[in-house]
This record gives sequence, C-alpha cells and structure tokens, in this order.
Amino acid sequence: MIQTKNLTKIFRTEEIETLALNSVNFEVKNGEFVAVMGPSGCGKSTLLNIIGLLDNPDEGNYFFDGTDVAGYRESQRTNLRKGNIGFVFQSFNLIDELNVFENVELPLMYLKIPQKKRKEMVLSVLDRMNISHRAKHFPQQLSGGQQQRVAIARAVVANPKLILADEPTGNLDSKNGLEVMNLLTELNREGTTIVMVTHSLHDAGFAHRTVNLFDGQIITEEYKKELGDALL
Amino acid sequence: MKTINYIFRKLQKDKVPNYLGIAGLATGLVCVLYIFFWVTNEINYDRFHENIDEIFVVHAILEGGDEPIIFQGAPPAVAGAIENEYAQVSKTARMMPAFAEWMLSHNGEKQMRYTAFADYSIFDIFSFEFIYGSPGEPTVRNQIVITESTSVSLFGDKNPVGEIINFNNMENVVVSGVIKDIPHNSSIQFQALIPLEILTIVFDNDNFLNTWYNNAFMTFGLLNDANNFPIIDEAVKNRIQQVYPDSTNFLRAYKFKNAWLYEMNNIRNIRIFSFIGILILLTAILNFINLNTARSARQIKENGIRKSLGAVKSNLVKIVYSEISVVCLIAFFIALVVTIIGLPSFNQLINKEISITTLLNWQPLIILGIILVLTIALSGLYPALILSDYSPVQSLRTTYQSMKNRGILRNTLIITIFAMSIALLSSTFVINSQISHLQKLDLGFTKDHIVYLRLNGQLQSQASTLQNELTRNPNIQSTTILSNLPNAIGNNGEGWNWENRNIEFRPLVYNWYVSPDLLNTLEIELKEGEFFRENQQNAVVINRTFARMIGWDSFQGKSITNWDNSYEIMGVVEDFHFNNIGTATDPIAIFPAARDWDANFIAIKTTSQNISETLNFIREAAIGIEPAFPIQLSFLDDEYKVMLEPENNLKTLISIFTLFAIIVLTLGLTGLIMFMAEQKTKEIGIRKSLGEETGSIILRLLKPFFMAGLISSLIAIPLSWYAMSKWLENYAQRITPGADTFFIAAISTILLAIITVSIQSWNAARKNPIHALRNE
Repeated sequence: MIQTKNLTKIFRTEEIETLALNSVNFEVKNGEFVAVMGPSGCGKSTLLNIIGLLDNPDEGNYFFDGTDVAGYRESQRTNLRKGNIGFVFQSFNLIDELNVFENVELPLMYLKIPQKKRKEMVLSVLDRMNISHRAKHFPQQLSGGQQQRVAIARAVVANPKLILADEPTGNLDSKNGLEVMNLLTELNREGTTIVMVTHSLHDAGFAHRTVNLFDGQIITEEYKKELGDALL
Repeated sequence: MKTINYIFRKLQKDKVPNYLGIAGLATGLVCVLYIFFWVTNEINYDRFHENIDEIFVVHAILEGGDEPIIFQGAPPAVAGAIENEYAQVSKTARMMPAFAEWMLSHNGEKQMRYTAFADYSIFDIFSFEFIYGSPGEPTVRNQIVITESTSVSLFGDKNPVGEIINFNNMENVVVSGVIKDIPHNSSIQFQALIPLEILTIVFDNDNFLNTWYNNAFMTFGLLNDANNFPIIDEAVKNRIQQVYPDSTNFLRAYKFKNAWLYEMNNIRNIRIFSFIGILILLTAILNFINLNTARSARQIKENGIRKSLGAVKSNLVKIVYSEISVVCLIAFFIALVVTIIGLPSFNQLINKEISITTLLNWQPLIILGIILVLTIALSGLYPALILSDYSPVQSLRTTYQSMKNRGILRNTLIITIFAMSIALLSSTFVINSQISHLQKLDLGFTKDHIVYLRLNGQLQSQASTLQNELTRNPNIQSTTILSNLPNAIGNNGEGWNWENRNIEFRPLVYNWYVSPDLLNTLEIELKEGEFFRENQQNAVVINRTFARMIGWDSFQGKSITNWDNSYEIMGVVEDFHFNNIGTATDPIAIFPAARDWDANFIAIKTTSQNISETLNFIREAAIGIEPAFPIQLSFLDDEYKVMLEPENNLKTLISIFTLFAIIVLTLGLTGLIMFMAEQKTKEIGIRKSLGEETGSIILRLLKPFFMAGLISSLIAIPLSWYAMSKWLENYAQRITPGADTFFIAAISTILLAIITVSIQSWNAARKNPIHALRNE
C-alpha cells in the first residue's frame, strides 16, 4: 500500500538546514499495523506527515497504492487524502466550537455525502466507539479518553484504508490509553492499515512491526514475535 | 443552520475581542451611515422637481470692477426675451426670492410669512404639489398661493381657495391654491407666493418688470429637451449687450440641477465628508481585522485540522466569510438601529431635516449594499486568503511566535488608525479656532445690544416719530433708521464717476440709506470729515475701500457723480464688514434715508439693563404708531449667528466624526493590547520571575504604541496642515494655524492611547508569574 524510495526531507531556516528524513526506504503492506519509534526530533512526525499526504518530500519517491504521489500538488493530495486516510493526533485536534457529532461529521461533509447518509454513518461510528450518548457534547466537556475516542471516530467515519496515529495515547492515562490501543487493534483486525508514531514500547507492542528511526534514518525494524514467526 | 450555530459558539468563545470588534465596526458604520444620510440629503437637493434635467437658470455677472461680481438674478426683461426668441425654451419664470417676511392677514389673524414674488409659470417649471386649488389665472395680479402651514395658521384645516388675504396692509389678494410645505432640501423656499406684478405697486414703478438692468430677478427657464442647454448657454451671454452695447453686465446660464451642489459649492463639503467617511470605515475595518488576528493562531490550527480531514481552500474561505458576514451583519444592524434612533438628535445638531425615507430609493439602497459587501469583503480578506493558505503541516504546527510577518500588518493598521484620529482631531481644532475667529472678528461696528425692528406700514413714514419716542427711555442710548441691516445690504449699482477715473473702471458700489445717528448707534468709526445731518440733500459718505478706489488724498467737500446725480462727499468712514463675514470689504456709499421706502429697519442701541422692559417699551411705542402689524423685535447679534451657520454645522459634523474615530481608536487599542498581553503572558511571567518590576513591564508594553503614535504624527500633521490651509483659503479673514494646534492634537491622541493601553497593561503585568508560566 505504501512504499517510499530514498525519501528525503530538509527543513531550512535562515541559518541552519536540518535533514529531517535521510533517504528513507519504508514499506507498509495492506492490513499491516506498523509502529514508528525513535527519540524526539528523529523525523517520526515528518515521515507521518509525508505518508499522510499533508506534506511533500524534497527528494525520493512515494508510492501510494502503486502511484508515485511525491510530486503531487496540494489539491491533488487533498483529493487523494479524502476518504483514504484518517488521522489521530496526540492532542486530539477536535474543533472546540463543534459538538461531538459535528466534529465526526466533518470528513463526510468534505466528501459531499448527503446529509441523511452522513447522519447514519456518524451515529453508527459513535455507537461503535461507545460515545453516542455524548453526541451533543462539546470537546471541552469530555475527558481526554473520550476526546480521543471522538478523534478516532472522526478518523474512521469515512472508512479510510489507512489510519495515521501520531502518539495517540500521549495525552492519556494508562487506562484510557489502553482503551484507545484496543480500538486501534480492533480496527486493524477489521482490515484497516495503521501507521502509528509512539514513544511507548507498550503501545508499540500492539503493532505487527516496529520501525526505529534515528536522525532521519531507519536503523532497525523488528517484527512482533508471534507474527514474525507466522510470516516466516 | 449548523454553520450559524457554529459561528455563534465561536463568537461566544472570544467574547471580548469579538465584542470590541463588533463595537468598533458598528461605531465606524454609524459614522458612515450619518455621513451617508447627510450626503444623500445634499445630493437630493431639488431632485423632487420632475423637470429637474430641463430647468436652467440665467444670472448676471458684472465685470466692470476689479473683480467680476456674480449675481443670483438677472434683469427682468431677460426671461421674456429668451422665451420669445428661442423655440428650445418652452417656459420661463422670474422670481424675487422670499428675502423678507411680509404680513398676511385674514379676519384679524396676522402672520408674518416669507413671501416670494414670481411669474405664475413658476408652477409649470417646478413641481410644487397642490393640495387645494391651482396656480391661478396668469392675468390676475391680486392672487396668492400659500403653503399648507401658512394656510393652517390663517384658516385652520379648511380649504381656503377663494378666501381673501390682506397682503402687508396694502392689497387684498385671493387665495388661488395651497401647496404642500416645501421640502427642507429645496433651494427655492417660500411660505407664500404672489404674482410679480404686485411689485409695481409696492415699488410704485410701472416699469419695474421691464428693464434690462436690475439683477434682482431669479430667472428660470424650461427647455423642451435637456440637450439644448448649450444653445441657450451660448445665446444668453451677450443678450444685454444687444440692448445696451456698453453694459458690463453679462449673462450666464447653468443647469438648475447643478445649483445646490456646484453653483453654491456644497460639493466641497460632500467631498470632504465622503473622504472622511471612507477613512473612518477603513479604520473600523482595519481595526476589526486587527482584532481578528488575535484569533488567527487558533484559526490557523483549525484550518489545519479541517485540511487534514479533507477540506480544500474554498471550504475554509467559505467558513471564514460566513463568520465575518454574520459579524458584519450584526454590526451593520446595530449601526442602523443606533443611526435611526440618533437621527433626530443628529438633525438638531446640524439643523437639517433628514428623514429615514431618504434611504428608500434604489440608489442609496444599492450604495448601502455595496458598503456592506465591501465591509465584509475587506474584513475577511486576511483570514480568508492568508490564513487559509498555510499548508496543513504548517497550520498544525503554528504558534503565535512563528507568525512574525503579522507584526508588520498590525503596525500598519495601528499607524493608520492613529494617523486618522490625529488628522481629524487637528482639523477639528483648526475649524474651531477659525470659527471663533470669525465670531470674535472686529466687524468695524458693534452688533452687541442692538435690537432691530422691521418697519412696516405707518412706521416707514413715521420712523423719526418712533425715534423720538424711543429716546425718552433711559435704557435706549441711540437709534438709527436703515434701508438694510448691515448683514444684508442688497442694493448696489454702477454708474459712479469722479475726476480722473479710468474709463474702463466701473466698480459696483453698495448703496445704504441711513439716518444721521448711524455712527453713534452702530459705532462705526469716522476717518475723515463728518457725517451728514438731518435732511441734507445730495450728501454721501463713503467707506475707505471706495475712497481707495477713487484714489484722492482728501475727500471732504469734493463731488462724485452717480449717473446724472452729483453728490458731495461729507466724510469717509473706516471699513466695516457688511454682508459677508470673512471676505474682503466692498465699496459702499452711504446716503441720508429721505424717502419712506428707505426706512425699512430701525436699529436700537440699548443698555444691558432691564432688557425685557426696554423691549416692551419699544413694542408699545411701535404699536402706538402702527397697530396693524405684529411687532417682531430681534437682536442683530443673532443675524450674525445665522450667517455663521454653515461653518458651525461643519464644525459640529467634524467634531462628531472625530469623536467616532477616537472611539474606534480606543476600542481597537483595547483589543490589541489585550491580545498582545495574552501573547506575551509567558514572557511577562519569565521576566517577573526573574525580578522585573511591574512598571517596567508596563513601559515595555507601551513602547510600540508610543512609537506608532510618533510615526503617525509625522504622517498626519503635514497632511492635515495642508488640507486645513486649503480650507482656510476660502476666508479672507483667517487664522494661521500654529504648529501647537497640530502637536496638541497628536499629543492628546497619543496620551489617550497610552491611558487605554496602560489600564490593560497594568492588568497583565501584575498577574502572578506562576499563572503566566503554568499557561504554557
């Protein structure tokens, strides 16, 4: 599903150049659950942004479902992103002025899905995330765990093939964190591909494979024991 | 509906900047709406006449003196001549405007009413709406058309057509029609109108309406096609010279629709105020944008989220504009309500009768719509185009600190708002000092404690009896008989000749008929010789301007002639300001008031004691001689106040708009400093935790505003100095605005800003640093 070749990203300011990604070759297959780990500033989020079509690489190729999208313009990226990729952020990134229902509804509106159908889809996903009783509440009225469940609901409402999660449990206590990880695992079992950036070895344990990034380069890749055995 | 809910939730969230933004925008819009009302009212002057495009006016310009002298009217023979000679002219009418009040009485009810005299064809040219009756028969002389209020005051609510009115105790006239009261924004005003022919009786002169001289007649014409105007304009120029080849009295035509705006130069103030209106609107919009930037960091983040969810730029622009439109509509609605509620007070302040219905026309409504759309378009420009342009990655990462370029925008905005306020405030100061300069101007005569009375009926022939009667009262110091009040000497003429006169030089000289006690009463200074005595024949006193034109070394005892009459110069008086205040003095010849019709007014100098008793005494003395007329006593000083009304209105308008601009400035600064303090919360916290004093933090926050104030002074002071110098050029008697005027305006504005900012800074600076640091 995802394949990068010599993916390079450089951040430039007036005085310094930072090599955020240095010829990264990275592949994610359909239905995989991959964790990306590494210290702060190693390029994890940059990689996620490029994979998520929020940003373009400076060099290299990025094949999404076999098409090289590295040189796509923003409008092309937006079109590809819509309905194909869902995001889950550490800080939830819900819109404060919209209630739970309206937040979850947003991606469907941008896909121009008719209102009646939207309502059905939103209610079904809220039900599934076990927060339908909170549909009329605003983000600030919810606990962190509930907010992240809303964010996940919003990420999956359009049935994307790929979910990108950037430290999804970073702002949660362990109980809520576990709940979120269980949700992601369940989604993965149902066929959604997941790429997750995390600092937590515990969370990474839920993934099939863990990629370790250091100074913009992939240094190691490890497969989860039982799965690795199965694949072998 | 969802979008609206979302917008209201957002407004709820950032209450303070939102309310400040709406308040500022509404304030700016109120100001713009008042300017708009005022301008619409000015532009609508005379527009109620159906034939407005086809009406033209002919007037005279006398070119014999140093400067051409422009008359409003033309000789009476002109109208008939052009109507006969040009097929393009379907109608003409002459009018002696309603300069004075004349007595109209019916069954003992007496009313003084401004009465005009005109050819009845005036009603074919202009659209004055008849309630009862008609203009009357063209051949009948003794008839009258009155306005509704005149009719009500004399006849109550009944239809008065066919009733008899006694005109000024002279002639009986029949009411032929009643018209609706003339709208306030009509340049032609009267309360009653009588056929011009009656003037041959009033002035006892059969030839009064047939001469090719006497520029006293407003001359109107109706074209069969508006496009024929150039033909008439060309044709009238030398029409008088076809009769009198030597005359220096030339004619000129203009379109009546240009009368108020261009001929009377009211367009100048319209331009000034439209400009001010646009500036204030822009200021309010800039201010609004500025307050919006307080939210923009969050807006950018929200845009980022939406983009990551699949929104494209157009989605974001739509959201921003929906939000701005709602806010602008709220502000516009508030402004409209405030404007309409305040309209009566506004009218009172500037002495106009502007009605809300002024707006109920497609042109003003369209312009109002354009103002609204423009406000929305400009206000949303920055958040819609700039903020939604960030890529999603940038958006999600953006913090306040990373948006340095907004500082330039913000500083530009602050400087613009500051400069506007300083410019307006200094203009207010200059206009105020010019007006008080005119009010305090030494006119060359005294107008304080001078009561005057218009002499009607028997009082004209028995004026000296009245004078004798009045001098018995110890509170009356002196009286004088006058043909005209010094602020309205309308009588003038050419034909003056003296030894060694340059043949080409034919000045227009004002004529004033007075009794010998003029100098005592009005305290005019005698420079040479003496004043004339009672019943002196062929005597004249001239002013210094006339003396300077003649150019001799001494004048007393020498003779000058006017047409065929020779006059002995008794003396020369110092120049005094008659007619206009603030313009250069014209030449004047002062004659003894010998004929009854010279005695139009009596001016009475009183002491400042027992004024109401003195007034009663005068009233009784006058009624004793002429019981037929109501006695109206007025103060000369008030006449001068009326003359300064345009300047006073200008002053009021500018003051109001300055106040609005300063409110916008204050609201804007409050919002801005709140935003800056919020943005610097962490910095303030760190500084405080390291031991910086509150005062020092406040100064740090004040500094950019102080700098902005200084820079805007540098921009605003030269600009307003230039604009005000241009404005002052309209006055011969003018002040030279000193640098201090502008500096005081600048310093007051900066001080006001600093006070506003200090209050907010104080709040920010004295917070516990722990709170500030915990915020991050």
